[in-house]
Amino acid sequence: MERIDTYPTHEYNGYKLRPGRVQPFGATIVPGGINFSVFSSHATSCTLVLFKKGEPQPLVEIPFFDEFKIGNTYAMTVFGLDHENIEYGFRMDGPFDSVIGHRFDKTKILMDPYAKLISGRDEWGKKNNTDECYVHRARPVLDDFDWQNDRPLEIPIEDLIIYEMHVRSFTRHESSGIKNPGTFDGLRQKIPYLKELGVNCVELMPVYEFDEFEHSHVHDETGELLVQYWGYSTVGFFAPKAGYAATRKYGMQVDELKNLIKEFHSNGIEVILDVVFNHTAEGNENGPYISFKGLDNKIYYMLTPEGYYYNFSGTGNTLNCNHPVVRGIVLDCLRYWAAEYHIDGFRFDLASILGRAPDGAPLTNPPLLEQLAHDPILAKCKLIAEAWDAGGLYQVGSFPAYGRWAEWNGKYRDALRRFIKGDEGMVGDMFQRLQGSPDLYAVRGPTASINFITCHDGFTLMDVVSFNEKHNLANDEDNRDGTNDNYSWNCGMEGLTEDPEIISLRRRQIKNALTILMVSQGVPMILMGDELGRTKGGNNNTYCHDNALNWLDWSLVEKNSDIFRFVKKIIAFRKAHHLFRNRWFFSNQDYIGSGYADITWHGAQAWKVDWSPHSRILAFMLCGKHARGGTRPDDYIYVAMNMYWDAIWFELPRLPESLKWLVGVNTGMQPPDDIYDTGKEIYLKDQERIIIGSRSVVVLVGRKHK
Amino acid sequence: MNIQISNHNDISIINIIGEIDASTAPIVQNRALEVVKQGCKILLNMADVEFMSSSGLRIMLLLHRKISGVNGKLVLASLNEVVENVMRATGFLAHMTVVGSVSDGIDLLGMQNGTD
Repeated sequence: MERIDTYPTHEYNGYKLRPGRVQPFGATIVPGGINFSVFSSHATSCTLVLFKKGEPQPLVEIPFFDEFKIGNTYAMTVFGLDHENIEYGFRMDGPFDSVIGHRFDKTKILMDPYAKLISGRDEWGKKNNTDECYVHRARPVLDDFDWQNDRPLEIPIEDLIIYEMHVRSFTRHESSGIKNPGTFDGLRQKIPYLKELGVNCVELMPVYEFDEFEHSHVHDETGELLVQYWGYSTVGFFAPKAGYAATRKYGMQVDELKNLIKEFHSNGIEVILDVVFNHTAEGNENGPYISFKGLDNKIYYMLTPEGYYYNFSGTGNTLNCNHPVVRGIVLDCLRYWAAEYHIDGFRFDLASILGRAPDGAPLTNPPLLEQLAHDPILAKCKLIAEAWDAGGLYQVGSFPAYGRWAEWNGKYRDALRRFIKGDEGMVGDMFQRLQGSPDLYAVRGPTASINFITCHDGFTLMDVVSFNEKHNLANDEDNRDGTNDNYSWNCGMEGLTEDPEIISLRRRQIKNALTILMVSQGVPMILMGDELGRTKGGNNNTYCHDNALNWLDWSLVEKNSDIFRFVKKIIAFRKAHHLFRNRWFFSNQDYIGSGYADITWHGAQAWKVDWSPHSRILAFMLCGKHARGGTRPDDYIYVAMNMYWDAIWFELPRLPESLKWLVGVNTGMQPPDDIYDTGKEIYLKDQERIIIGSRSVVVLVGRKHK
Repeated sequence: MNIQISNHNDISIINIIGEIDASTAPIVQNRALEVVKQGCKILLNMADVEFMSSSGLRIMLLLHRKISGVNGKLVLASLNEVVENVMRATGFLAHMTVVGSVSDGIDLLGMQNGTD
């Protein structure tokens, strides 16, 4: 039977209306019309502003009648609107008192914070004629995607190999050779490449709507337009970036992104979103009004006692994450992405901010983090924290985890870089990092540790081995931006070189780093392009470049085919061995009765580690019978790392009678002898000892051999 | 929006001329539903559809579901490149049977037993 609420009860200027439903918040397409719901604790009145799509001036402004307000929420249904051709916003009236924290301004048209589709920056890098009146425009959308049998993959986190990537950068370069470069659809066309590489999870740098023109300016000397390229500055938390969609012209970015995720899933690849809840694109008191600032400034932002914006994010403002209203919108947002987009997990940018109280003080039991950890809809999503912020809160190892949260392990990155460059005193540190950092995650287990050598922030792996110093002049900040703690070594010459010995050493160092990453307990993450030896010319902070500094050059697949080959094979090697993917820490005991502890440590002499500060070598053996707690018997594995500048003989630990050592990886050898496929490892003639070249890593496999 | 329906053996050929958006999609839907019946074979000639909005694509999927529900067959013929690209990028194409021309569609539907 027909419902009576599909008929209007009110009218305004010819528009048929009805008191709306307060939930869900935002715009919802309902029979006959569109329901709008928005809340503000301190506004005195609210007006709905409707535009015909793309028109500079409003079509109509409809005030919310008194009877349309429940609590602090304004809700109304407007009938007879063409949902494909409507843009909407709100005007809020209320006090302006910057000391108290109110910044209401009814001359501004505000975007719905729950907007699921946003126009205004549809075409990447193009402004349009609507900017003056209302830039980022909310639009209603149908959430009726046909997922067929798809659902999030729920791959155990210890089995993930994460690939951190940027949607536009991946295919924007002309060498990508695809239709619709720089878009979700472009990425979809390159899924076979990621499958060939062997990763089973992509972590997408921000795909929420952002404004590439935020802080954009032309570099005085290079003439290059510098933009908000990476997207770590959110305009709308519920909407995909329109400029990333090939179908933006038709407003179909929602369907396009969902289709991309569905295709990733059908190829066995999870999708994690990098989410930025620590701040917004509204900046400080000098920044623009987009949404929160005019809706309820005092609620959404952390403010000093004088009414200024706290700046724990380093970008002008800080979202007031532990205010109950803000917690609600963060939770609604993540639930929406998990349920509507089938997202497999989230990486939280500057996540320590999510543990701060409204006055900025770190909380011991942050309600937001606890809530996300226990949420029934997010229950199987990976939750990964960047466990620090720009306000000096560094929580690697101590992030409030509630048994759920993993962390980007910054200490892993630093230790591995320092170890491979030959720093003294790193053996003890590496002892922890290789095991999944039990010193940091004793209670949480190795799966709390996202291990990485490089990420979007900082050098690429090729640059870690090619530059001692950052070279950021192209960023127009006189080389002040970007970290100075790179722990990098140029192998003898800063930057590009023709010297074959340096080139060879750099390639070996890349292989060393990736081999150590893949044999470490914990969850490995690699940065887009590192599998191809990609360089950014020593720039360690390319956030502002819409050019070849960020765009992946696909000709590297040919040019650095030796690196690509090695990375594919070392990923396959990790996937072939359960031993590297334990959910719990090693016990250092033999609880199976194999005669070997689960992990044992060695040096140039078997069973003996040189812990002294000048030592640059370390080896370990994993007992195959103990893999995954003894449930998935595997080969034995021996890994020897020689980060000393001379070759060194390593005495090998003796295997059980029936097993022999075979060489799986030797980074000191030239391709194709640097790595062998599983099952094709080479029998080691001398089973007692092996010479390991200068700055090289060897991995042996112990199994039955005729 | 101009829609003509003709028959070729047991196949209903629907020629659509115009753009399919939120305002015209219901017209397409209603006309097409006239020929949806048990075991029907329906060929949509899209040669003169230059543009399909989000609503247009949804109508295609809706028809596909309705026709499958009565063991019928739906084939789309002569999609222009722009429309086909949008359908591919958004996943709608994967649900559909698409052929290059009306005669290909007649051949394909002619070979099929409508009640399978």
